[in-house]
Amino acid sequence: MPNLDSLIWFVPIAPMLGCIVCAILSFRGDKHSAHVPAIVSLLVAAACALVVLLQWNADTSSSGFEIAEGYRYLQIGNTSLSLSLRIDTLCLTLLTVVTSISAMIAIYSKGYMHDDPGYARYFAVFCGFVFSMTMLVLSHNLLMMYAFWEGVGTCSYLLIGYWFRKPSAARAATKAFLVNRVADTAFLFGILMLGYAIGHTDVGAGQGWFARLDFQNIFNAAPVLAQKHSGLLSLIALLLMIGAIGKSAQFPFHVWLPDAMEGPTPVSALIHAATMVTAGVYLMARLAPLTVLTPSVLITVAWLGGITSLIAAIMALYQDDLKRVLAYSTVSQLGYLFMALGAGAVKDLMTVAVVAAMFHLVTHAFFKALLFLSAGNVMHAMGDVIDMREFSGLKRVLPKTNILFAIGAAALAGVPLLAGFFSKDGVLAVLLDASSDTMVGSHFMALLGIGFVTAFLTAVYTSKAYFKTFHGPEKVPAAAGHHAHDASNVMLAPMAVLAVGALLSGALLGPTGKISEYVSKTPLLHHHEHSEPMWLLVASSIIALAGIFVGYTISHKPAVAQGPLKNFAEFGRNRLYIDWLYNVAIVQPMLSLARFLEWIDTNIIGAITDAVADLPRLLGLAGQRIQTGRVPAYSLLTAVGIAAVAIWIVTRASW
Amino acid sequence: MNLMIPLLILVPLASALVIFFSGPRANKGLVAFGILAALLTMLLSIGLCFQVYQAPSSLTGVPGVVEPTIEPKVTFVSETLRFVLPISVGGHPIDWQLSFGADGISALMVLLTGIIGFFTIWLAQSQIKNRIETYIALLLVTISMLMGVFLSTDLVSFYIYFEAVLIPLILLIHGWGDGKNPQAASKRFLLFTLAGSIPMVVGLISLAMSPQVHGQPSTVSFSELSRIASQAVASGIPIGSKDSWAVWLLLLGFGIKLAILPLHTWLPMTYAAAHPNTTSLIASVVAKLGLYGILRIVIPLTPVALSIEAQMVIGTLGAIVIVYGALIALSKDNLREVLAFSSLSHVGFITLGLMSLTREGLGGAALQMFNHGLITAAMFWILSMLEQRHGPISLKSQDRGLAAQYPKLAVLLVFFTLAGAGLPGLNGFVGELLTMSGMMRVCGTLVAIAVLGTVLGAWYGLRIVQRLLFGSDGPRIDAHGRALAGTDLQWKEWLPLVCVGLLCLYIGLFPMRTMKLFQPDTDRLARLVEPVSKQTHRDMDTLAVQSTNP
Repeated sequence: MPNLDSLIWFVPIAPMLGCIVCAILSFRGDKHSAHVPAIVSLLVAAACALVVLLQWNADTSSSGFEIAEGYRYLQIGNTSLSLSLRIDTLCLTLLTVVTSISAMIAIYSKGYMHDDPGYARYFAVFCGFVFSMTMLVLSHNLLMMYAFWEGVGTCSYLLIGYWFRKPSAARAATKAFLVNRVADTAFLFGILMLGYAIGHTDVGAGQGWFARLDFQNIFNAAPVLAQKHSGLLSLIALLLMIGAIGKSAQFPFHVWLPDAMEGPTPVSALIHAATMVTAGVYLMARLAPLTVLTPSVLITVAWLGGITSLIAAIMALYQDDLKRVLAYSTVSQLGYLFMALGAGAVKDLMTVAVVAAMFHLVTHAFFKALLFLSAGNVMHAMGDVIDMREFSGLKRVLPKTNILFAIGAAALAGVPLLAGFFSKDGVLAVLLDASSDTMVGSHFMALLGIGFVTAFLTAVYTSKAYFKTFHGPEKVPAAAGHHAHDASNVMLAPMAVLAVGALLSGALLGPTGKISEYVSKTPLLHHHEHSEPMWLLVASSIIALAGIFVGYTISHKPAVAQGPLKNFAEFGRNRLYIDWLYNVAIVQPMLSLARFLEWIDTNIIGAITDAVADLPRLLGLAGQRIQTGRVPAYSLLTAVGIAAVAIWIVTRASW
Repeated sequence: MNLMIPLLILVPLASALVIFFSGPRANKGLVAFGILAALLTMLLSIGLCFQVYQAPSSLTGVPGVVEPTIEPKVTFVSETLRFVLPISVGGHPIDWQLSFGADGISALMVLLTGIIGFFTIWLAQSQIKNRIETYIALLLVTISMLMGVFLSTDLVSFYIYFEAVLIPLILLIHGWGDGKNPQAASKRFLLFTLAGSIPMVVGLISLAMSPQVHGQPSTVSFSELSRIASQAVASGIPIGSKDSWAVWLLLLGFGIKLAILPLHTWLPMTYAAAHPNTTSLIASVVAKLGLYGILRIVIPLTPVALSIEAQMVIGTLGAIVIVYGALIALSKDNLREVLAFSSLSHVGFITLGLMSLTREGLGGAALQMFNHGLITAAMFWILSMLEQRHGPISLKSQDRGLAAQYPKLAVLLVFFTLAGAGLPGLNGFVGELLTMSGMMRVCGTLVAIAVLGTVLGAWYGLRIVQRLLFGSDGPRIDAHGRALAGTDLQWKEWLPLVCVGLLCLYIGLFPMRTMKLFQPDTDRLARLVEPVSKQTHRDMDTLAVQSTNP
């Protein structure tokens, strides 16, 4: 299929060109037209991705994947690292989501960012992000994936710090980059270890350093490694997993994501809700043939996901900032995805786990992006105020946003027949399946319980946020001015598209079996029949509706809680003190260590080297004593010297 | 006979002499003359790269034939200048003929010297206020001496130029320094580097005589010595004890130059005292002399002793200095010192790559020498421009918010910070990745230490960006309370940064094309040393065995 191979290249190249054009416009100080190249290029990318997705569906390639050759990036010896694209159903699924949602959000941004002094800069980095993200998704080699992994991180940094005059934005950007970098370091080390380990197998022995890290090669070598060096493989999988949970903001790396909300809201919607943060999930799904061999790591992943989904839901419950509620909700939902992936630890469940995770990833991208954009509308109308205590009852002020937010919130809360309902059930069903396993079932039984609790909490905080914002007595902050109005059509139109996705994507993809059929065509995944018990659907419907009711009842109660609940609320509001703990336990000790080393460097190492440098002078001073100028003393010394030499020669000769 | 090579050394030297002797009479014209000379030098260095690029390899590559690992592709041999050195230990006088040559690695360093030298002189016209023509002349002398080091093909001229570089540098640090005490700094610089040259010269002499062990006449030629070393490895002659102390002496000498861990104290002091414009040349090229010495002399000429005795020691020091330098860079407030320690940390990666003695590591180290030269020079140029506008730059105070005031400078600073932090798509990434890949095959523990450097590197880099650029618009007054003109970069200022930045981007996007220049040379070296290193590191992975029989 030569035409598909070349068509797929348009997907990353179009946003790259968009990025270049916008960057040039940015240097020319453009403030009005930068959206044109951005939107056009992203629409082209989305169209190409969609065409490939549909064409690929029709095609049944024998190996299940294609490599679209690019150019050789690095060459060492006779092996090279090339920038080539790998096409299979798994990456096409995510690729289509990324490009279509980014195109929608770019259109929205035209309205949202108008009159901003850095208009062109915004769109340049935006396109740069989409380029990196599509390349990440299409990588055929783990090192190439790492390269673009860093690329998306950098674009995220630049966009979080977009309003660089705000000190909080500057700090948030630095924090996000560094927390990610810590995880990426583990990721990079894992990649290097994997290359080393593969070199010790028969499969990888003849290959150069870079070729070993092709995904196909990793999958070939993984079973051999699991037999010969299972401990090493587990360590490698663990390191790679750390990279994944860092990017996807899972506990203990979740701290950067809520702060990342300092960036413009469309950026939060695109990068920090719909696309970039799912890269970790994608990495785990991509490496499923490897991780399936290390069940212990998968169980760790599942537990981290479970813990994250629960604590993030608790924190979301106690946030007053609407965007932060959504941010914690994202963290929590990503935890769901990791729980689902972790269920792959159970024999033969990997495919179902990946399908469930990808399904929830797709639906979540739609409704979470919709929710963020709605929050953006609120923020826009309220004069950049986003604290829910400052406004309420906005359903008359923002009638259209009200409907759109309601759709997104209902999908997130899991109202029956909307997108979130089906996909969340898929995750719970996988956990249920896994819990019947004799070996590790107990883990997943507990995680299923966490899943139900989180589902309930999700419904509570979602409905609480919705009712607090749009219902109750009408209250508009002073910053909004006198004529707070709903968003313009250019902002509402893309949201409507997302709303359709939030309404229908679940029903169209899930129960029909389309997504499971499509994703399980990925090489090394196998299609399994998998059915959800009816009681699960009923139970989660009841949980969702109960949660919504609870959320509604507490939405207009005064926030002051009593007794032990008050302490709990305080705990939740302070993010469970995890950020504080990091500062005290990691950042400050590191800085102290740095200061200590600085002290050592100047006062000890510097002093020692100075002392050594002083030695010649001291020796010279010692020598001065002998240079008395008296001839007898000199002759004595000479005699002693000659004697010493003579003794040395004699002893040496006899020896 | 190739005239490119003598011209590369003579053009800057001769123009410096012209400037010296014309005196301060024609100030303006002399500055322009100096810039033109530097431009010509840069063009010559580019031309040399093309020549090396196109020159066919003279080696046959026939298996079984021992060939030297150092092979100058473009050479200049003078028939008239032939000396017999007064060293004749063991009755073998050493025949020394003045000759120069360049292989890929030399050409790369010559190119770096040409580019950074030209732009440093170019920027001097706006950065240096007093005695500018003398300043430019001294820079030209430095460039000429540096070219001599990189182009020499024997131990004698290498040593002469290696030491001669110091003379103009001392004057530059002392005369134009504006730190706390440039006198003390230049003294320490002189003492340290001279102390390093004593063990080095002993090591070099013992190298020159080492062929006698194998029953061959002493020689000083790199290519001859490397042929003998390869022969020794091929025939499996066990190394004598003499070789091993020579390695240590050489490493001590070069270690001081590259500021390896306990011997580094001269570096931050010098960088803090010298004018940042001078520092850019020191940090980017002069600090590479030690690394170049290891790559040119220690690794090819004493491979066995190196891998048995010193490889892991120096490699460990390199890994430690990555973290050590980064941590201190994090806690320093004076931006000059922050950059000094960050430079120290980055050089650790290069050391790591060199000491891996693998194909990836050596290639990556050579590339990273060039990359780091570009990035660090650009950072010091930016610092110089900032200091010109704001006085000494301290990171202690709160965020300055310069991004709004100097948008161009802000973009360039972010760009070079990210390049230094190893962002993929820019040049730093390729070098760091290759050096770590190389070391991974030998010792994973050291890589585990080194990767920490990537986090810490990002940390201090982003600290610089945040403190300088972010935050609300700073008060537009200078250190003396006067209203600040606050002009963004003029074209004269951004031109060098943009040129170097484009080069960084090009290397980051197409590293293979850049590496083609020197890869044959590093690969040949790796073919010699990988099997040797495999003997001491049994665990080294199988690729090493593969690469011995390509």
